[in-house]
Amino acid sequence: MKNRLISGILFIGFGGLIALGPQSLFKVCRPMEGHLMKCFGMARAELGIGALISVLGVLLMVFKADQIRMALSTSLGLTNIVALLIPTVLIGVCNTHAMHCRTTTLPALSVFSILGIVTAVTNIIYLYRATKKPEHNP
Amino acid sequence: MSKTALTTREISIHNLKRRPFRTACLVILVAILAFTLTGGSILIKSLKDGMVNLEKRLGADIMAVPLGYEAGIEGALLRGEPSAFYFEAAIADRILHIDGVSQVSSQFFITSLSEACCSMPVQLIGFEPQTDFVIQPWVVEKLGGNIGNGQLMVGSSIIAQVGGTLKFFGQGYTVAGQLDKTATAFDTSVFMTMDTARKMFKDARKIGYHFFTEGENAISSVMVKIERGAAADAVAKKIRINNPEADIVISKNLISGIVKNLNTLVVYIHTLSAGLWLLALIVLSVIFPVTINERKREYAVLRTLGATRKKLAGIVLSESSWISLTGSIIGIFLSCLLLLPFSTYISIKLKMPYLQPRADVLLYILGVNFLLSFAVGPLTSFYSAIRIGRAEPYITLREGE
Repeated sequence: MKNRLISGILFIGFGGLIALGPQSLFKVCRPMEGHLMKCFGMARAELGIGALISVLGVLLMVFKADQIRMALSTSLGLTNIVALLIPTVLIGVCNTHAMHCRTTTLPALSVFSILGIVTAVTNIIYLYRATKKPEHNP
Repeated sequence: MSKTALTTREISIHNLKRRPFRTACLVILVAILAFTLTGGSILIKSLKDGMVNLEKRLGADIMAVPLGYEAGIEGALLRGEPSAFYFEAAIADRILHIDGVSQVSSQFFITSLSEACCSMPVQLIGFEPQTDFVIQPWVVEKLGGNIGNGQLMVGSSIIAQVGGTLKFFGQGYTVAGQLDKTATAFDTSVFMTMDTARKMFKDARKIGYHFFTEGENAISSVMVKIERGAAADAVAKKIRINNPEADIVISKNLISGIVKNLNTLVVYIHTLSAGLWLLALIVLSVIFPVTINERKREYAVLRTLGATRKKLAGIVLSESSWISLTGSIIGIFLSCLLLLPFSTYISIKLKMPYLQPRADVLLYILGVNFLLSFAVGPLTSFYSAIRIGRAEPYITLREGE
């Protein structure tokens, strides 16, 4: 029960920050004179990925079976890897070093994605060990 | 029921799991310590390296700029604020003949245009390769030779490919090389020969860019190296008297404010780190004896079952080591996660030169801080570990009866 709640809440939080952070807390550059920047597209992509992470976090709280939760944690780990690759490799942010998206948005998304990956891996290990024990109450 | 051997490791981990809240609190305490130690060390090293680099890159002992533009050169050198100001080129020759002056070299500044979106103006700096002692050494170090006319040497933050072309004022120039990161304003500057700079200046005027000079006999600054043993203040005073149209900036004064801020910050970080380490030591020194005391019957049972004094001591030390290890890893990981990606943001907010350490230096810092934070646990439990084995099991078990 504790693991379901804690891990679920963590992933809902990380997903929310990844999805909404570039729109609010650590905003990307706005389109200027009809010119859409890379970071704008990146933020849109992260909106979808972050929402997916949050939904998977909810499912993690709902399902009791350890193996289902291990599969969900694996999905969360991989989704967080994609969330990390989007602003760094797949799409990227503005090139100029002092732009807000490069100094703030990119590091923030990297931090939350990495935390998501670490949490997913920890959860997988915990659940794997739990499945090995003869008696276990999720 | 599954069988588990009663190894020191198994017993200590089981003991920690039995008290999850207390274990979590102790781990968090060590994590905070490790976070502060590591974060503080990385911050200090980055700021100090930035400072050393700034002092190295300034190169000149004294700089002469047009009257009223002292703030301009300070902004250009320290904060990367592009500037363009001019005075007569003949001033360089007059300064060279002043007592105490060893070398002089002129520079010519232009600022690029900035587009409405996504780009920032950069500082364009023309220098004289034959006389320069500030930029020329880096150019030679990077290119193995001199930069040619029509070529550019760009700072590390300029987005350009070596061998590619950069356009300024409608004309393309070949990028001959890119300098390493210096954590100074030079990272956002573009360097070229004086001839290239003057050509660029003419191109700028052709497209309607206005300057406070015709450009032919103008320079922006004179870099001055003084003779060994000469006092910078005294030489600066002579230059000032002989050249009233110039503002004279002494390099060490330029950075003295930054050095003072840096020293204050370093003292603050060291004090905070030492205080936290002491706090962790005190708290753990109190907690471990208390937890061991409340479990002395348990240890007496283990002794009765055949555990040696050494094993009991091992269990106690193992528990404290696990707490220290977990806390240290978490603290160091979080510290790196916050400081390394946000290094540019930190340098902008601190308004100080900030140069992240190389990978090998970083690993060394992490290693040392890991040892310092890990040591807290075993150190504080050592005495309790020795004491636990000395108690007589029978007396301990019958205590209070």
